[in-house]
Amino acid sequence: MKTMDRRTVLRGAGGIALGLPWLEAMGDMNLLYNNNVRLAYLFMPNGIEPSAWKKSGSGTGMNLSGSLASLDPVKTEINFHEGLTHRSAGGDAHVSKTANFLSGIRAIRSRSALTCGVSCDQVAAETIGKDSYLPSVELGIDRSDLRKGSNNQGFSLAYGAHISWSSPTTPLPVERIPSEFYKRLFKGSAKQVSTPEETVSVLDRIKDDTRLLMNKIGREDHYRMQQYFYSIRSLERRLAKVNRLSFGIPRDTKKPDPGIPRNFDEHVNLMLDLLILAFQTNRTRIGTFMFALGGSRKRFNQLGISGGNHHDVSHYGKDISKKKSFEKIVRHHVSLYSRMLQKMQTIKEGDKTLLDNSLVLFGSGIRDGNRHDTRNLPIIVAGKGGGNVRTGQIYNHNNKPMCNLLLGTLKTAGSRIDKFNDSDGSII
Amino acid sequence: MNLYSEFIMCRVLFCVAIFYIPVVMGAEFQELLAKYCYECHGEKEVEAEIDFKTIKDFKSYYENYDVLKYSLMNVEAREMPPKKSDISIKDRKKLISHLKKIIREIETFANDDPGPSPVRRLSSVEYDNSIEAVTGLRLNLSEMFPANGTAGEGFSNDHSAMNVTALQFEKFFEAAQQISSHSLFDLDKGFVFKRETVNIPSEPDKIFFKENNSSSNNSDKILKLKKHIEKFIFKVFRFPQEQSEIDRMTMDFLEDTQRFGVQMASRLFIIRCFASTKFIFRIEEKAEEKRRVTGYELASRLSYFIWSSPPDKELYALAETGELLRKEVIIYEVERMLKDDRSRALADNFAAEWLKFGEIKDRVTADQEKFPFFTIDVANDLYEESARYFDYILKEDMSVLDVIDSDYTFANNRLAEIYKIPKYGFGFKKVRVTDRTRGGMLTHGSILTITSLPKRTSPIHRGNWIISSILGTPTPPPPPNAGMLPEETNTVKGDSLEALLAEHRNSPACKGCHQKIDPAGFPLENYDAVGRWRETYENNQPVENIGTIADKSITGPGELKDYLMDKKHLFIRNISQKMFGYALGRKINVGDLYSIKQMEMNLQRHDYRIFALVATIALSNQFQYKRKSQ
Repeated sequence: MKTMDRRTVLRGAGGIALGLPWLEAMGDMNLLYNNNVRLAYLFMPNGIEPSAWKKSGSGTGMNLSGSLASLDPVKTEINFHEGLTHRSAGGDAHVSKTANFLSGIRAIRSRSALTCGVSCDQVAAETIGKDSYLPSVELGIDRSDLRKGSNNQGFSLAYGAHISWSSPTTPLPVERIPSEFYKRLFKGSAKQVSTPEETVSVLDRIKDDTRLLMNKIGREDHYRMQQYFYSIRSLERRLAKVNRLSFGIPRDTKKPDPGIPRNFDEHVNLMLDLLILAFQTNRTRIGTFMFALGGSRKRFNQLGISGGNHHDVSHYGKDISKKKSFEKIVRHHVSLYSRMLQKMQTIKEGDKTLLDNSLVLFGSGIRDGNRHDTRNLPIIVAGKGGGNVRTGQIYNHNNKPMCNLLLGTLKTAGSRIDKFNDSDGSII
Repeated sequence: MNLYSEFIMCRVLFCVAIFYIPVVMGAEFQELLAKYCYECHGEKEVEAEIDFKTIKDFKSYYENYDVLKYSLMNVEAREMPPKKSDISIKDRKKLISHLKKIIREIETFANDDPGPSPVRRLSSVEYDNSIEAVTGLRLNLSEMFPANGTAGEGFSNDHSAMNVTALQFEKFFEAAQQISSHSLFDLDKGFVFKRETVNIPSEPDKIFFKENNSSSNNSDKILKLKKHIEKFIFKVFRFPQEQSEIDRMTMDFLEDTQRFGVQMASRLFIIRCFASTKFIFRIEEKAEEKRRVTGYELASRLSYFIWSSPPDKELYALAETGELLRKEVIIYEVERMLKDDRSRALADNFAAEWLKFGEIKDRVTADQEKFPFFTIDVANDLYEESARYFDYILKEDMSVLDVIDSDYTFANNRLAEIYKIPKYGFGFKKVRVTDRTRGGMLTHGSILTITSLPKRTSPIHRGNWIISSILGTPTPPPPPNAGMLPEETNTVKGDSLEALLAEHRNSPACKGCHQKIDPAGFPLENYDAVGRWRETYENNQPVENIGTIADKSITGPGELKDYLMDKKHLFIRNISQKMFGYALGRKINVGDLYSIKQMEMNLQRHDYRIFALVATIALSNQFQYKRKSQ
């Protein structure tokens, strides 16, 4: 069969109702998948138990045990990055080291107004994500306002609820309801009441109203109106793209039930599956996910841990049984990550897999859960980034900025920037 | 009415831009700073994020008021400058007197500035209430909005917590669409909202003639439409719109009618209104100079403060005539609004966040194995007790000190059983409690539970709640790696909790703060981790319910309440500051301190009745004036 050029394929792939099998039958799809690296950043709270972070060797000879054992099936697809540091992190024990996980910018000590830095996923959204249906998605498990007020170290707890920041003062709340996220991915919220034509016309009017209002209010309030304006624009852009650049929804996709799964594992797996689906259908190229809020006090009774919550056991000190419990929790998070990677491996994109075309970073804002230390962060990056990344390696970067790696992910995905916050080079 | 005659409502309006007042602050003060402070706070380092090198003129003094106040406290306490600086007694005295002088200068000066009144987005509660006020429908659409955090004085209605992200706008837009799907347009009745969603009739609408717009019949209809639009957008936007605005929207409506039919045009119009910045935000027009708020602005300020809702008919009527700007009318309206059912919003949104009892609804912390009876229903009951209690203070104009101590509470049968008090039948009832084990919000199960760990009580958390939430005197954060106590039970390795805490109270790094925190928590040890009364621990040892504050030993909740009543001046200041921050939706700054003093004074003069507090806020400079816009 004759290979089609990219434009023709795109035109053909227009309707979202078309299933992937049809696309695959069209012949060599590699053109379509080129330059289409997806980026995911997964945040685990409370750090790791370092003595169980066991790995050695490389490629098929890599040995993984302790917290990392579950990654064995995908060991040739991942890289370990040891020795990366957020140098200017500082701040309090947990929440500020959550807020800056993806930026390395120091969060300002404040009980009220939040100020941190633009996170790398949002840089990606601005540079390579802007042509997607959704420039980026921010997913999580817990309510962003689960814990209110500030901690005893003078930091607003809201810092701990956000890893994605679109401006230094705009943290992005997470979507945690699977059915809502699904709706957002595939329905285009405007569908129910008005046609695209009608929607565009009403959005235009709202923009006009906002513009007119700007003349009547004080300049100190213009910032808020502009924020509103950009939000309207982003919906407009989305609607314009609804039928472009997207692949069909796979036939076996099940629409999630309304509500939130009670069970943590189910909830995590469902959200990660939806993130995979969003990547697979090309609805977005950028996603972040939070297993829980920074300093999370989630309980893991299902793992047989009744001794204390996640945060409590992360401060195991000399208590062997706590240390064991903590390690179990870390191991469990890693296994959920491994499950996600394995699933991505099964999704074919031409002669590659979805995992090949992605970079999926997993890590925490501190290393040893017992110590709140931002040096030598525990970081794993899976995926070949479209073929540009050699995997199956253990790197030791010896105290280089974490931002070097974040910059590396951006560059691999096609973002033309040379520096990201305190980076002094690029690692991938 | 003359209760509040001490108010000086119309202060002399002098709007000298504050930063231009030439204040020559002593060169001597700068020299002292350079000599003793720069080394750590400016030159080589900026410890505690304080840089004295940038604090040079009155403008920077003003902006760094908090830093200066904090410095004064530390200099007076001889914590700063540190020992190694060898500061002489004379220099220390000089430094203190300079700091005091500058602080006084700032406070006097700032008192005339009403402070910022940033534009505020409707909070989730306010959004649902506002929709209901216009459409009569309780749709609870805010459930699909992403949650926002708290900011400012710790409230989720704070302006800086109110970002609009792309996701948020999409949800507003979706919500507006849902609202519109409940509507129909009728030329005589206007925009009609139905409980159920309505399908647009498939037959072509015959309301407007598509051709020949100039026929007299059509222009009558258009006039009617215009009236409907005018009325509707007034209700949605909460103040009357200019004629040009009404014309513009009518034109758009007619244009859409041509393109999509009248019912669709009506829906698009409704979507436009509810997704408009004028609805989503509480808009106040810019102030060319510092000015009094308009009647409509004041109506919204009052109603969203006390009701978390838009103004009602009466407030709008008073706003229209300008009557609302009269002091007596404001006082009367505040009284009426507090008596109204809707003032429960202050209990649910202000008190629940201030005293943190709202957290009991968000997360059930109690360990399910240890306290199997503690279900979500119980958590909701505990919330209800606290909310009703505060609501009662509002409705009956009780003393704000009832938050600390009283001889009543609210309980249903389920709570009565937990509290071991007599049952009074179904539903919540006001219950008299005379033995001092209950009464006062610090004995509420909600608060006792949220300040506990899942399996045991935490005198530190409880003590911290008392000194922060009640007295408003929080301690600075603990140093990094301060360590954690075990979460499990009340005794560890044979040491009692009190002994463990005592040890850490005596360690030099911890004692400064924990001598303040822990003793305030121990008298509440008579309540277990879910607020039940107890005399002994599980191991049958008597509870350690004694705390020693400043050589005075306090045993049990009764004496703790007495102690807090002695400290009521701190409590009064705290509740004033918190409620003021809630009302203004922003952080309290130096310019607000004068008004807060007024609140304290008025509370004292009027038996601490809550009305005095709310009315003083409503009459304050900050509430009544708008600062000159940038």
